[in-house]
Amino acid sequence: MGTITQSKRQLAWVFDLNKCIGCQTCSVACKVLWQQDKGTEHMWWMTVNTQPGRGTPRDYETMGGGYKDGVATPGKLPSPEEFGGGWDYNYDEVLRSGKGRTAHLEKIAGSKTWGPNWDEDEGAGEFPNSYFFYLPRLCNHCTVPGCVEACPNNALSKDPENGLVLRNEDVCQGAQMCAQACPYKKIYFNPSLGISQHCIGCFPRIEQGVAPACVRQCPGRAAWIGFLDDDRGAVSKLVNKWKVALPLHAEWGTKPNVFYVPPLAPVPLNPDGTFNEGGERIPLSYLKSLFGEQVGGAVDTLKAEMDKRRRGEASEVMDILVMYKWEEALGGFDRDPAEIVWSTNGAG
Amino acid sequence: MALLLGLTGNWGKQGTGTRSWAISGLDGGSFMRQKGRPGQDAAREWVTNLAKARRMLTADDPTLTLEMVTYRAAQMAAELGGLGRMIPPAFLWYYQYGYKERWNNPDNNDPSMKRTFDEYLNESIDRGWWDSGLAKTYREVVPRVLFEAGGNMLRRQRGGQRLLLDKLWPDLKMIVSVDFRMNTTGMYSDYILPAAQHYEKMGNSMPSVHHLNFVLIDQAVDPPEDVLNDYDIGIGLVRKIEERAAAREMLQFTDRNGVQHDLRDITNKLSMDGFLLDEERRMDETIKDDAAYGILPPDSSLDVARQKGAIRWTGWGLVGHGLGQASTIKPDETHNPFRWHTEDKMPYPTLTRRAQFYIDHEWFLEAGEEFPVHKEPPGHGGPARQFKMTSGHNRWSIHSMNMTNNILLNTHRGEPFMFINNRDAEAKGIENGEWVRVISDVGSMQITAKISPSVRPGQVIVYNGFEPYMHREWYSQADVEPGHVKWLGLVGGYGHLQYRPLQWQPVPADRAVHVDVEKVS
Repeated sequence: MGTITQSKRQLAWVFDLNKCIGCQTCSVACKVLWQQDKGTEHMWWMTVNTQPGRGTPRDYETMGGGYKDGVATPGKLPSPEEFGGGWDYNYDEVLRSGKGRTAHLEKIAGSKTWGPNWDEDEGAGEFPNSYFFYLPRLCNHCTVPGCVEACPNNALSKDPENGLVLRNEDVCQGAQMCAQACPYKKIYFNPSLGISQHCIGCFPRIEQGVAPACVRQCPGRAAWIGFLDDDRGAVSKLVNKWKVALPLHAEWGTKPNVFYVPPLAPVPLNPDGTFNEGGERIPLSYLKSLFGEQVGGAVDTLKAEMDKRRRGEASEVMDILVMYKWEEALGGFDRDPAEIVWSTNGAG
Repeated sequence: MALLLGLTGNWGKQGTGTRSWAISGLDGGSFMRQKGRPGQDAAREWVTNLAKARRMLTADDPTLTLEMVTYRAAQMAAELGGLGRMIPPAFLWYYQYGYKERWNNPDNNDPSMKRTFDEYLNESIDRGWWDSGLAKTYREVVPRVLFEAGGNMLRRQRGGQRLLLDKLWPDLKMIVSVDFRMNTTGMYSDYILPAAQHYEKMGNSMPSVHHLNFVLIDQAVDPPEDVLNDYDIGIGLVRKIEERAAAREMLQFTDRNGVQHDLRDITNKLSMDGFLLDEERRMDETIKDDAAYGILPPDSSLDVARQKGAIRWTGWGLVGHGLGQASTIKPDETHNPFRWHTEDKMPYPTLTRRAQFYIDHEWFLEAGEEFPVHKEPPGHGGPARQFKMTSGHNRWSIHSMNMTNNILLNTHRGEPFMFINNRDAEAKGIENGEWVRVISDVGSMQITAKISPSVRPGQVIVYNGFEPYMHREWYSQADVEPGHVKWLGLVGGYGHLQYRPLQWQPVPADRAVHVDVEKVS
């Protein structure tokens, strides 16, 4: 089994769930950059799902993995059907076969019952007190990555300089123990290459001083990247200083490095249409089930800081979350990727 | 809402108001042909002459403001045929596409409509309200050629494809679709001229007042083989027309308005003797002209735009829908419309020259709509039907732009869907993801159900843009919409309520169409 070598520094992501609008620009940026080859059709290293929801792979939160009391607990290997998607369509039949209206655009490959964003905008509650929000997910580049430890071939490692979880595809044998160990189920299998694959934090971009595509492309200014120990950076301030950004399912024991600013929502309505001022639209218990007990404090801090701004007072948290300049999202990885001549080393 | 803002003094100053979606900052492109020759001296001469001509045309009333002069000049240009032959399409639909019956159907109309739709329409024509919109012409002239450029009318036409395919298509001798998509209208065309997608050519994003910037979109990749920039497609057609006109010795023709057109040397005339044929030079000239017209800072050029990406506007130019913002653009200040009216006390371009909500036109009085008033939606689609269908924009594409793209399809259901409330679905035994049929009095479509408690009970939501051929049978949202036009839209000859191209005219309502939803057996 692989051993986890700790890195000197750790890169981390923050997503503000109050600003994410579920536009899928991050997903598409990632897909177009990394998952266009044969064997990657069903892969979405970056996904955005509606919560509450079953997510991708379907019901991944029930599949196990991670650590219990510090002991690795292998979970389930999700099936292709549970990941969903991977759709291709009968474009030729519809557009070029001359069948006219008897043939419509249909899926001819991939899952019949699920997709990476199948339950978009469904959420929970009852009208008019329904609720939902968007949750972007990628590899958490965990500090205690169960996947690294589970690999029988030592194909996975944490980069010593930045903590990204990387895969040596020449060494990977496709055993998929990593995918069983990962409680977030963010590791995919490439049937064409016979190996597993996952988000590598846009490592080649990071090496060149360019932020990952998911962060750089976010039109909502809802995503940040940066080193957790960079006290002046937005990520560190949101996570360490103000504690308004929390990991997802910290109880799974892998110490994930993707953090979320929890969503606020308008108060619910009473049956007569008046505001239920003391009520919760998104139940705090639901937020706790995702982000742990600390989420209450994070929500309180956010509300207090928003109130400060409403009173015209200064608020460092709100200034960071507003992100007046988009370069603030990049944690210093602000080089323009268009300036770089990328070497493909014949790998295509 | 506007009345409330008006009554409470909540517009025309910072922190107030609503923002209409309007485009502007296009004068460099709009006036390229009129200025006649390359260079910004030509642009300045043209715009000086245009301003003089507008003043001269409106000299009978020296009290007209810049806004009023601009609108009146646009109206006069429409009457003279100076803006090309735009028509309010409602008259074409009425006379030739079979909408007459639908618009006369009392079920589709508000109970306050006292006479038949025909009577209102005929009266509006007889009183000359729509003469400049060529309403009379479309009683007689039968369209023979259809050119669709990025339009996809078989998807978009409120009222659906069936009327178009039954009533219009048989008359057409040739149908051409210019598009970067293989869309449903393309499937019903004789020719498809494949056009470059946005990143395959140079362009600029929609110059919207929401961001007040000229945003350059540079070419990222070459278009695929056989695909051309839409400008080059247009020039190619012009070249061919010139060539065929010479071969047939049909060098001139006179249109229905008596305007004579010369077909000799038109490629050179339209391209400034070839100057505009080069894409980079054309964009550079457009940006420099925008600077000459005061829309962009004086040093603006393609090079500057490439360096900065976006250049903030400095003015509105001379196009009406920009000037209609009626507010001076100030550096580092939020734009709020109407400040000329509220701060500078410039009269509003209305009948009374004030912010006018009272419309004492006889039809508005008859309908009880002389003031803004709430009325229940008309019964279009079938008043007894259970649901009201509304629309909205999806999040993963812009309108229909990449709706059939494999990657984007994988980011949602990957098939057309309709939101329905969980209780409504339960009552009808509809499962999440199941195909259902949506029915109105004018047609039906098949679509999958997506169940969400965030949908109001009694409502169904269908995002706009699903391509008809994504649906079984190829019928989509527009095919259950009657495409109903409200008779008060025919009013003209009343101050600000009169026809100008792209402005006031009868338009179809597609909101709250009454539909039923049934399981597909």
